[in-house]
Amino acid sequence: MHRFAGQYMNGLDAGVLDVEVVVEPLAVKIVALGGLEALAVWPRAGLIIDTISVGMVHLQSGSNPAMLSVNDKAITSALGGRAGSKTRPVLIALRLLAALAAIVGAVWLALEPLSTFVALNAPRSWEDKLGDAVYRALSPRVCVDARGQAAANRLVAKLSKASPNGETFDVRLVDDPAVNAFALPGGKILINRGLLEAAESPDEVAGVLAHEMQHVIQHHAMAGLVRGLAAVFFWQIAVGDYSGFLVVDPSSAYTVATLKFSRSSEAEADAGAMTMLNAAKISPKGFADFFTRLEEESIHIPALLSTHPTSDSRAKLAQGATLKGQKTAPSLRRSDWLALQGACGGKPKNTDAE
Amino acid sequence: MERHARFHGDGLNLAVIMLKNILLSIVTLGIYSFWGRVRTRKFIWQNFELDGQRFSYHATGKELLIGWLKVIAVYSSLSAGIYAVQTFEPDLAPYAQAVMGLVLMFLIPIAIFGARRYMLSRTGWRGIRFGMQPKAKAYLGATLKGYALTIVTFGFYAPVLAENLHQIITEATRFGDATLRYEGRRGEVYGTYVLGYILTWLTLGLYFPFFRAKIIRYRASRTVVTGEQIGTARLRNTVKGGELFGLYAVNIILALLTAGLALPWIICRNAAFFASRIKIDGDIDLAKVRALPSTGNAAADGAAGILDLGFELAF
Repeated sequence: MHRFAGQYMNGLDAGVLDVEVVVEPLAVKIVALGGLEALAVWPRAGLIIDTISVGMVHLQSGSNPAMLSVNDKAITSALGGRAGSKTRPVLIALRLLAALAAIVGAVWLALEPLSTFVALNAPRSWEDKLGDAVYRALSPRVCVDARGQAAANRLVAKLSKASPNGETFDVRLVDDPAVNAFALPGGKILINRGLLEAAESPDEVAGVLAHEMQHVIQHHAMAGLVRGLAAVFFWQIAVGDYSGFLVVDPSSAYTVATLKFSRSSEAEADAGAMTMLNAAKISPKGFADFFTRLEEESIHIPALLSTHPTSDSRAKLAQGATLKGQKTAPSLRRSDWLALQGACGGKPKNTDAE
Repeated sequence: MERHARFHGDGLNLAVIMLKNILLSIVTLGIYSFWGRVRTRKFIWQNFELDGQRFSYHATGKELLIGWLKVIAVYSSLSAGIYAVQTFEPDLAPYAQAVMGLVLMFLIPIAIFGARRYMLSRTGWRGIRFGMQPKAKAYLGATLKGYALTIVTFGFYAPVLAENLHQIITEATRFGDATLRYEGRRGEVYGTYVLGYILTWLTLGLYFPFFRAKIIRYRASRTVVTGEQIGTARLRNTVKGGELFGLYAVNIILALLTAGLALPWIICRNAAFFASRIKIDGDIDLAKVRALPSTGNAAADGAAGILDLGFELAF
């Protein structure tokens, strides 16, 4: 029989009574200090033992509102409960941390192949709807210029005819000064005025276009979305914060998730673009030139921090992809090139394209 | 007679609890997180000691899960409605969004009040429960009226609004059948608020801890615990601006240096900091406080979590 000093609270008023707690084989007897009769006898079956407090054990009996506090952790083992682990908390914490790191690492590694698998097997109609939603969210100012648009379409046709893949593309020129181009899920490709103006030859635009078309062909946007959603889901179940599921504005989430591709997606798109350019007999040099010039004009971003390969590695890639003895021709006629550059009202640059 | 508080929890034990919560939540696809949340709160509540007695926390994971499911059901049907309107009647979408905004405007104050009411109904001390009168409507009314007046007066009503809301919350709060009374006067603190807003803005936030400490001290000094047969006592908080500044500064440094891993230690530092500064002065016979039934809705807790409305532990 074990005896412990404790404090008894009856649950009806806020009085606190110093008591002696007697642990018997079948029950816990609570006796007021100096008293003879038990204030309460709680059967050990149905006893709620709460050990979460530091240096203190709280006891309750079933749904009885009365509570007992004992500031001696030994009562837990006297009651046959788990006496608390003997392992030092630091070690427990480190083990838990290691387990967590292992899980996070495994999820991280599985994310890429899994998202690619889902993206390649998801119904096309989803991707089309998604692309429309992103397009609406972006609501780009499309340049209306029949000749410029026709030139862009001709470039796309040239690239896709040379390497047939069953995809349809819908290229649009956007009145935006940022030097950028986007591939949306479902085949829409947006090319900014800024990019057209920064390009010095049609081959440079063809290089960027081939890269964006590869994103469409390889369903990178869908993979990015799946990856984004999976990461958000994982984070939320881990920290028990479900707010994100509800306050998500679908269109903005898609925008964020789809416009940022992973580094491996970018590298895949680059590699695919080389094959595509070669097949269409367009020199990959334009592709390399464009990115090299872009980097010279802007702040250098180390490859590790950026999702895009460095222009240096892109230039090397293009060099390696250049086929010896292959005859290449400018990707657009001069008149088409001028129409394309001027599609958004920009002044065509004087170029050496023929 | 002076009664004081103390916090017994330590970061390491809390870290073990929180890490276990994360792992089990991942394994159970999030279901465990409600039970985990109860364990975290139990650790904080039950290591908080006031006048020699620990607080207790009585919510259950099941209760939190059910409350959350109810909120999800309502919220997702609202979202589905908005989405349907956007898809089928895009012209009406702005109206639907305006309605949603209006619903949220009403829902947020109710969730803030409800979450606190639920928390107090599950908080015990000396064997009986705290509680809150059902004053959510008054709280909502004061919030809406206060925002309107704040806009109309170009912000000059904001201090009055803050104090009014604090008064409603405080005076709805009870411990058993003992109640709280807030004797704060708007005129007494108005200058503190205006100065606080201006200096916080001018110092890019550096003055905020000093402002907050002043308000905490003032509010405590004007809060009275009273009951029919128990007498009266007054709260006191001795927090100073410099101390609060130091607390925040160290917390931020700890969080940054450890990429957030120091969170359990930060929680315990905060609790210990405030515990050591809370006092109750006056002769009250706590043994005579009687228990009253306390109710609260776990859905409010879920809603507050989903709407990201944190509530403060300090009082």
